[in-house]
Amino acid sequence: MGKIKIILAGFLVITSGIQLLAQSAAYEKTIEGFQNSYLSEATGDLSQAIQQLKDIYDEDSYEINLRLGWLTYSAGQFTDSYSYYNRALSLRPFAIEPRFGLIYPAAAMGNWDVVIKQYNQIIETAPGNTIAMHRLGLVYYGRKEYDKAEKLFEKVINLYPFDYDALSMLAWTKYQLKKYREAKVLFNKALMNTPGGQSAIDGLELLE
Amino acid sequence: MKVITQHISACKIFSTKMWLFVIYIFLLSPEILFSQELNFIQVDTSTYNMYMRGDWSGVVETGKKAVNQGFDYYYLHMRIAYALFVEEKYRQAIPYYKNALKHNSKDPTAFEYLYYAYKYSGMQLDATRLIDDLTPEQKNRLKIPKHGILTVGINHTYGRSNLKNAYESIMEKAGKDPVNTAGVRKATYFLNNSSLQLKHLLFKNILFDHGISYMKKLEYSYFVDNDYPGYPYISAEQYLDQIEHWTQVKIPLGKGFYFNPGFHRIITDIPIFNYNSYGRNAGSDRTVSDEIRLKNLLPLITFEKKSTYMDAAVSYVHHNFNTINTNQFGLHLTLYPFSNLNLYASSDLYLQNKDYRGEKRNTWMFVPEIGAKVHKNLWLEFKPILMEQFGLYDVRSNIAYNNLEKVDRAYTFKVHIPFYKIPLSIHLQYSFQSVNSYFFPESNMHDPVNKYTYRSNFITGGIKWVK
Repeated sequence: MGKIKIILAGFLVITSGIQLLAQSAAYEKTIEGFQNSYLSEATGDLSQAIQQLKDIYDEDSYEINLRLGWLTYSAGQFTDSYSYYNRALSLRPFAIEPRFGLIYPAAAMGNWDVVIKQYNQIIETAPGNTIAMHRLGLVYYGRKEYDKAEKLFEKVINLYPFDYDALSMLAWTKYQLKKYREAKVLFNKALMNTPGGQSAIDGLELLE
Repeated sequence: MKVITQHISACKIFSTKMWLFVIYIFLLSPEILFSQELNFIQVDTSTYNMYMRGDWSGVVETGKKAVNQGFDYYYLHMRIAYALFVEEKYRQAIPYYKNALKHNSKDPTAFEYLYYAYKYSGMQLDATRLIDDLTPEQKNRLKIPKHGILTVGINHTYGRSNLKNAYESIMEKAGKDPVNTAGVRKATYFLNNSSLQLKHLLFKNILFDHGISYMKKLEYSYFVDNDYPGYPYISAEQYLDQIEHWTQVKIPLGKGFYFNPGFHRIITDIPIFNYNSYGRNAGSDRTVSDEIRLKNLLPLITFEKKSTYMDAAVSYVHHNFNTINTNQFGLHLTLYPFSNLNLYASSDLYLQNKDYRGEKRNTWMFVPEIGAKVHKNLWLEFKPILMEQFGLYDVRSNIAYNNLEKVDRAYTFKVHIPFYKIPLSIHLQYSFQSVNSYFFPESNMHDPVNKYTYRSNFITGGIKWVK
């Protein structure tokens, strides 16, 4: 009986060891794949960078899908990028990182409803995320939905009252809403941050 | 020598094979290209470049191929839609603008072009339903008024026949009408008809089409009353008044599918004189002793489906004109071979089931029509009717006319002149009709006798304001 236990224990130790070795080899291969991919990207060879990750592709790997999302987007393969970012998102549904990624190909293809949906999800998950708020504000501004843009830029200003981009965009939104007095104050504040800021200067010239 | 000959013949064989190969490749090349799987970069780059070059047919061909392979994004649909729009294939452009809006639901550009695509496809209700989605700036630029009135139009028709001295002419050519058989004959000298039309929206989705018309016509009337056989009432010339009003509703049921119920109400006043004789001016001092007022209600329903290359509809109309109980069924098809209004051909098939005092008759009627754009501001239409018609309600022209004459054949030419800078449209219409006047025995209205044929010419002019 004792001998059997010893044999079983020995078998377990050996198989665990083999597994660890195999895992270690796989990790090494993955890290090497990432390393090579970064080098290829740095040299501008995007197709090679993509291929190096595809060689070690694991559909359950958040990291590989996320990076392939970025690389395929950079290579102009927006539909592939969209799929990789979506896969990454399904693996980490509460992460905002893949949502920001997903926005790149969606915006490049003009699918603005997806962009808006993702920014809203980001803001829901991370309510103080000023990047999402500012960019969503820009989308609404572009769509001439100034009321929605105004609310978002105001939220950003509440968190960063002296940010040039937020000040100038809120000023432009107020201008479009014909709130000229508020727009003038905001353009002036923007110039306090960046005295040569062309956008704010243009806005003030229009208001004169 | 033999070697050289072999070489030459080998070259010949080779060259023949090469040619066959080249021809084979040439014939198959579209097939090969078509079966080729595209990737995103190919699709996006090629459609973008063709779009920038203005190669619209290329954009459409490659774009449609890409869509069939599953590519589905805003810019692709917009490029295809715009290419089709520029090629004036408005009805084909519509689904692509809709697809683009699925990805960018508030896109003002897609909305504006979709609005025009509907408008130029003759789908005014669908265009109007989009107005709320346009930006205030677009509404201002497109000069779209805020009220729900879509069309206001006036029309006038003048018709004159070659009929003179009807009594003598009919007797001479068709024979004497019965004097002991109750019945009636009519023939028209001329008529004037004025109408006013108003189309407006209700609840943003339902289109109401109202109209009122007044017609005055000078006619010949021959009438034998059951109570006074042998003493026909002959009115050489008498004015008849007809007032008609109609309402038709267009209710959208689904994608390009509409239900159109409506009715026409017609009131006709026919004078009865206390003194009658025959001959021009003979009855000028006579007075009206009575007036017969005929009231007719004509309910109608239509189910209509509009698609890229074709409109199809079925209709049902009921009326009791001349006391003949008539159920009229219609099948209506309009083809748009270029998916726009540059050329269209329609055909209407009618079945009239007529019941007079229990005796039923079925009459089939076929009405074709063709229309084409010949210039930016000029459309021409031609509509020949080569079968004798009686009591026909023409669903397209929307005219209900209670008349006791049969139209032998008719040719109608129509000219439409739309203006674009001002929202007005003028139309002129000339119609030639060969009319059969009969004596209709009261006992059998299905089989009138003593046919007399004369000619009528009608000119219609109208102007309408279109939103």
